Amino acid sequence: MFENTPLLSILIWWPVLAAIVLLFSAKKIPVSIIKKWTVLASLAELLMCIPLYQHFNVNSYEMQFQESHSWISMFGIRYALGIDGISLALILLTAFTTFVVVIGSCKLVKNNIAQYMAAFLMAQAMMIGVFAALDAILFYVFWEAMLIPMFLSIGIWGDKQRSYAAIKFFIYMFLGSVVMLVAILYLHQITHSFEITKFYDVVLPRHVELWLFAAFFIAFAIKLPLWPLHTWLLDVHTESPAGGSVVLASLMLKIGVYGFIRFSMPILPVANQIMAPYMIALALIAIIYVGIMALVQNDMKKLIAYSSIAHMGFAVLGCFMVYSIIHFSHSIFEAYMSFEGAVVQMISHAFNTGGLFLAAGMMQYWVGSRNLKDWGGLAKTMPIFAAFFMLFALSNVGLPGTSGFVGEFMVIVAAFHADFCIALFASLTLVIAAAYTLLMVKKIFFGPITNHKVEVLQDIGIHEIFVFGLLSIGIIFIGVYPQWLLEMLHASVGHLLNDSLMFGA
Amino acid sequence: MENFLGLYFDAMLPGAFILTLGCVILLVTAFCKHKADGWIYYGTQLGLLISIALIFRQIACFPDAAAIAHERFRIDHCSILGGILIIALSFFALFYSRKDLMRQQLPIGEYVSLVLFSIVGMLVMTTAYHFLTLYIALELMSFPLYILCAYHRKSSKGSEAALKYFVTGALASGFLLFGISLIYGVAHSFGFVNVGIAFSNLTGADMIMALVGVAFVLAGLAFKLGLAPFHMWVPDVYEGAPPSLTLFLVGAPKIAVFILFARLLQTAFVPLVEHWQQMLYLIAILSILIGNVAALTQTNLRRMLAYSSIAHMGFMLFGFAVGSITGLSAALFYMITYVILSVGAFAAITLLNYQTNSVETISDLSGLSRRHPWLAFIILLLVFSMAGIPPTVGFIAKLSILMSLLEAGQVVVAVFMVLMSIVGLYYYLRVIKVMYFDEPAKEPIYAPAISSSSILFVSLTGIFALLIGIFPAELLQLCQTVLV
Repeated sequence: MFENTPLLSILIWWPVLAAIVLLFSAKKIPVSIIKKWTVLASLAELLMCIPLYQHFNVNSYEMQFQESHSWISMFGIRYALGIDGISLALILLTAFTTFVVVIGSCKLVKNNIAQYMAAFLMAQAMMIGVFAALDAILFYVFWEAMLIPMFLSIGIWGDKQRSYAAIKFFIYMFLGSVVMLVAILYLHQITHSFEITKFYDVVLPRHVELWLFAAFFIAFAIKLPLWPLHTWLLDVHTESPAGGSVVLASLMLKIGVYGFIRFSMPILPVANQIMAPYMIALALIAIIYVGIMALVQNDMKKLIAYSSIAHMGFAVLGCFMVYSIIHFSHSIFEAYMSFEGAVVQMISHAFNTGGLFLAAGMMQYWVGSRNLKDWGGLAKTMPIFAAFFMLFALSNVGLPGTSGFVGEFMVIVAAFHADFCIALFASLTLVIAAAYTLLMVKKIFFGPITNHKVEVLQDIGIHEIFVFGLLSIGIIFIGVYPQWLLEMLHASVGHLLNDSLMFGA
Repeated sequence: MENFLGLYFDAMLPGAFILTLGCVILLVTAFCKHKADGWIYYGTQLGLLISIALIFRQIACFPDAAAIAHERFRIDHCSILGGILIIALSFFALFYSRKDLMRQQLPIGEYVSLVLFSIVGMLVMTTAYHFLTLYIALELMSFPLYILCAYHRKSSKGSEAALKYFVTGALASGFLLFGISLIYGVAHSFGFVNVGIAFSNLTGADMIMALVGVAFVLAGLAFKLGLAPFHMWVPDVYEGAPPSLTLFLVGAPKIAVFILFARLLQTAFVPLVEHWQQMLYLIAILSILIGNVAALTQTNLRRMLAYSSIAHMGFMLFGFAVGSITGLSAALFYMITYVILSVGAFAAITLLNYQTNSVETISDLSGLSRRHPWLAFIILLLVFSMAGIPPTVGFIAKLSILMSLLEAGQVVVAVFMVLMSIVGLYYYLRVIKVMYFDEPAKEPIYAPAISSSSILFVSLTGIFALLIGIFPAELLQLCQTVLV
């Protein structure tokens, strides 16, 4: 029944439609209906993912659910969509997280709630577009269009420094993406096509590959963000509203890694091979240096933001380690493990950082402070909230049984086949992550209550329990049964590795 | 002979019609003073609509798409498209001028007839195929504009702008004439085709003379488009001229000069392509640098838009500099879309000025998203489009220019272009920041709802920015076919 339905198009354009309806009826309908409508729209989106998953053939690396129509015929740009296992996993994640964010943040905004919700639906649509696009220009259009709702949501509903943060965010992102645009157009000049998969076959001179790598690197490293291009994230995360932070951390950062996996590595195997040691070094710096920075933060959101950078560093490490693994031990199995570990890390990071940011956003809403010094003893007044927070924190640390463990474990085990030093440094992060996360938990939840505002707080209600419960199910499910996710990824990862290692193996 | 007359008749009809209209309005104004203002306004708008119909008629008259009359004029798809755009943009500008003139208690009759004379100049310019036609058309277009610039006699800013515009404009005319005379000295002809033939086999001293001539002609035209280093008049005129004139100035004249420019480069100057290419690259880079950097520090909204227009003209010029048909059609696409965007932006400012009479600086827009959410949203679309963010049309325009640059192997220039568009992004984002993020500085004392008819056309430009951004295929195709 779903063979001829353009499922991907529906997934992209349904939220857009829902958002437009919301914007045009904003003045006429009461707030409660706006909230219900948004929740239903995102639930429908999530349900529409079910046939997508059911009809997806996990044993094939081919792009599935393909759609292709001429869009700008003069330039040969097509409206081409299709997904492989990695895209599927990320699309499922996007639909799920948006659903959670919409429910979780609808209590945290006071004014212009219709526009706020519409921004999230738009951002969701654009992100699914990014993951599903097979045409490079279409990819770029979605990639850029996503900035507009994010920019507005930071700037309108953000904290005191919101204008600064929003403009910084937009300019940083734009810097990366325009350079990438030139690289895409350059590839077009050589291949006379904008199909991403056609780019994979192109063979370029070494110096050209390195230049193109630099262009893609700037785009994706800013999005990730990779040290030292991470400074935007701190301002943006601290200033943006709770929902904005979650979307940013759980979904948008993934697009950076996705870009490396989809563009940089398979298109430019030689350049990536050459640059892999430097990328690993950057990732390790991100993991360790940024981890240490997180230790000394007093601002809750900033701390989570730093931790988020460190965790994305892990994903980059997993991606680029494949080159050293092949180089040192010629073990394709370990390369698989490293690469899949990176993707699992991305997904798991979405759950635990998303949960932490949502919790931090709520806490800021309740008491009006992000500063850890204003908190203490919250476990006494809010035991259920404390339990959920603890679960997210432990997943962030990488406790076995949570999703955080799976990705980090896979990457570290694979690292031993690349280089002992890499493995050592990567393992160190577990200690640092444990230190900053647990310190934060200690400062918030234990000790005496110092702030009278904390004393009078009521524990979370059924609404919040539902939201956190959803995220917790995600964390535990992937932590206990990662095979489900790995099966989805396996064939596609193999194909991408094959393209990325063309000259390495 | 009859055929010859018929050709002339069909070619000149729209221009002649508008010229007659202008003269009639002048007479009516002389005898009726202000009593006939309403009639004059509606009559003019009706006349413009009729002349669009007359231009459409030309498509049927010249089915083979190109007709050259006596070496002096050429009617083809390009000139027809140009004519339609010019009149449509003028219609749009006059629509918003009326209330602005009434508010400032300026007579409408003279204003309209001067605008009409200028339009005649532009229409002739789109068909010019001869250096003398070119010069006369250019002056016919410019002189009414000089006068209109100082239309508000008591405004000192207006007089200053007019004087600057006139003096620099006269200098540009001098450049142009000097260049034309040198070209005549080499080619012994004024016709574009003959000049092209003469230029294709040049030697020694003739070559130098021809190059100097070409340089001067290009400088003269660059002045009219407001390209650096001939851009000095742009910010002053955009700021100082009556708002209704600025609205006119950013639209129709740019299209007219563009068509002329394209035709000149496609015919007369083709043999010297390697030489003028470098000149144009230089002008374009300079314009983008000066325009973008100067716009960063502007607080006055119109000055900022003026500097940004210098930068945009620079981006557009890259399409010329590439020297290929893809480049040229990319430039045409850029020009059409940019002109519509900027007309929309200036119309929005004019609209806001109806009410509060105080939207001068960028910060005067603060809190607009709460007072007029729809208008703010339209300005948002226009501004994002100028910045070149997808899915608006500005992105497609920049994309087509970039593609033509890369096709010509100009990777460094392409990188320069995208990096400078980041600089541009900053000042565009500032406008959005003020509208959406800032609290309103002061509540307007009297803010009646903007009438739906007057917001309609502004809305159309914003919707154009979004719709053509998503479905650009047809317009891109049109831009290519008219130029071939």
